[in-house]
Amino acid sequence: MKFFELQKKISELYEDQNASTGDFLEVAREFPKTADALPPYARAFKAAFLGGFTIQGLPETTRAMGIFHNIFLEVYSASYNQFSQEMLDSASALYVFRPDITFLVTEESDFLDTEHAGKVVSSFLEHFSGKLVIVNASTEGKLADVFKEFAESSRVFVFDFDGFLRRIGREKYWKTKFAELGDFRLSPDAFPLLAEELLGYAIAFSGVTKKCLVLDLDNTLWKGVAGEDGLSGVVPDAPLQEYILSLRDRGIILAVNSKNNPEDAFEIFDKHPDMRIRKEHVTAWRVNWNDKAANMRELAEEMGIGTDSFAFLDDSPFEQELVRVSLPEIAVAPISELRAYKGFESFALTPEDKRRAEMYEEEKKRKSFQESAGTLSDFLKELGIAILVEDARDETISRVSQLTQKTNQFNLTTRRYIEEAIREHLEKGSKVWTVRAKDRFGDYGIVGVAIICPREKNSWHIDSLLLSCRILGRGVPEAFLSRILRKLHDLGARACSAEFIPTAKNKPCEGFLASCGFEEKKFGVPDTRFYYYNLEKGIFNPPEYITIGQF
Amino acid sequence: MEEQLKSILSKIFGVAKEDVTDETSPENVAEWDSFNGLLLVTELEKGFNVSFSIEEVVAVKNVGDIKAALRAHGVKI
Repeated sequence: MKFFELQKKISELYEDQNASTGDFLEVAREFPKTADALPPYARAFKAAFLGGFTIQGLPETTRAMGIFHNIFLEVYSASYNQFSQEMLDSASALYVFRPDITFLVTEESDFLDTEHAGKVVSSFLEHFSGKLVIVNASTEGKLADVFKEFAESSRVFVFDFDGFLRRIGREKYWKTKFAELGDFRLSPDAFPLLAEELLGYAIAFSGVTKKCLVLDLDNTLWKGVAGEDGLSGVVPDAPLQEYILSLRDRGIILAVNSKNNPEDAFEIFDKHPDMRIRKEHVTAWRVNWNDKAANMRELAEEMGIGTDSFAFLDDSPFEQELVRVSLPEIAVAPISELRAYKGFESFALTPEDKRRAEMYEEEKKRKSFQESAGTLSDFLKELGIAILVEDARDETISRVSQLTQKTNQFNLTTRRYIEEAIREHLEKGSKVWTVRAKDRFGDYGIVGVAIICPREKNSWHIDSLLLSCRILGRGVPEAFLSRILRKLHDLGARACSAEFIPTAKNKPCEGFLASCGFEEKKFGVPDTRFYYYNLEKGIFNPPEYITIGQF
Repeated sequence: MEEQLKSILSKIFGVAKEDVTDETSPENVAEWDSFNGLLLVTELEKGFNVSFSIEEVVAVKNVGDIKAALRAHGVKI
């Protein structure tokens, strides 16, 4: 079955409150083993599952549900209660599989003692560079303390299994008759609930996090129809709206896509006393009678983000289906289970994430300023852009990884790196440089990354160079590259090479290297173009309206 | 009811509905292992709104036994 067909089926199951573990497993049977021919918005990801008790079916359920979040999971399941052997043995099948993330599902009695537990986890950290999520049913006591200590490492996470059981109903799902029948201490009907929680880690880690929640209005944000029931007739869903605002506080942008007369809808936003979401909370609007899929594309264009970073909330089965079919990369968020939906999960909220909604406001000010500024060069001069190029540090590595995961348009090679891979680059002597930018309207934060590897004979190679699309057209890429070459020159480099790997999306940077004075070298490698810069001949000048290095 | 039972069996074991008979059992369905057997229990309990005891689960040897167990819980099948 094709990816988008599977995705549509799973998306429908997310909306179906009666969907069972069996329904997800039925779809999982149709999955191809390997991640061939994935659509460009989907990410391949490897997860290992180790259980102290029977969790058969959990990996497969997680795999099926991952596709809803644009993740294609390859899974490894250890045999029943083999977690200790697998984690202690450096040659085990677990380490051969090289999972991006490993889920260890246990409870206290699965370990001999705290020493054993400590040994198992430290062995994992020693043998392997991936992340570990400990799903442990005992969240109090000595063992929990051991795990908490490990969680101070950036590679170990402790999932609050106890809190999870409390939320879903411990009596209904924990140590029921299935524990006696097959050591399913967690009843198999809880697998979809746990799988969504576990996927939260995979979402955050692989960078498919949704950035924007697109909202319908009638019978979604309020009960009733604006055009029929009017201001006095509609009933805003205050708890839902408050939850949505809490997402906004975490950096999720809100947009509206509604079939309504704008004046009817706005009257409710302006005047209804029970509305929590107000006009100023919403970044972009499409309140009209157009097809909602077309509206989605326009919203993406207006906000400068991809439709793949949208989640959509709408009560109408018709609109849900339309979006599933025409824009499968958008998640149709389950309206009754929005709190359980993990699509917005990100590990470390970067400063850029938290300021996202504010930054869109600053961008609006820039646009209206540009309209009053006359020529483009006047505008750029008046903006007063400054950039700062720095080495990646512990505090910025998550942003670096995030940018490699999310940047599609201005990205010379589109290599995606998890945080560990960035650290590996640094260990191997590569330079990982970030660029920050600001102007009179505000701080853009870190907007670009370059990864440059040393080669023989004082030569360096640009493995990755990418810039967030919100900074394009303002000379920042040129200034960044000029500064990179200057820094390489100061390190004693004589030459710098680079490559351009075309994708469906990175056309905007196709001519960039040539425009900065790089020479194209023909090696006849299909799908890649190589470039070369002789640093001994001097370095091209950055745009003069940009201040470099002073912040 | 018969139809609902068949769709659950088909969903869990990947068998065609028309191939399901009272004699269908772990002996003649490759996918009917102990895990899928338990998964079947959760699906039946959910689908027919019943709850089986451990003894009832252990006693089931084929589809005919499942029907008998459902009948014992008042399901007309």
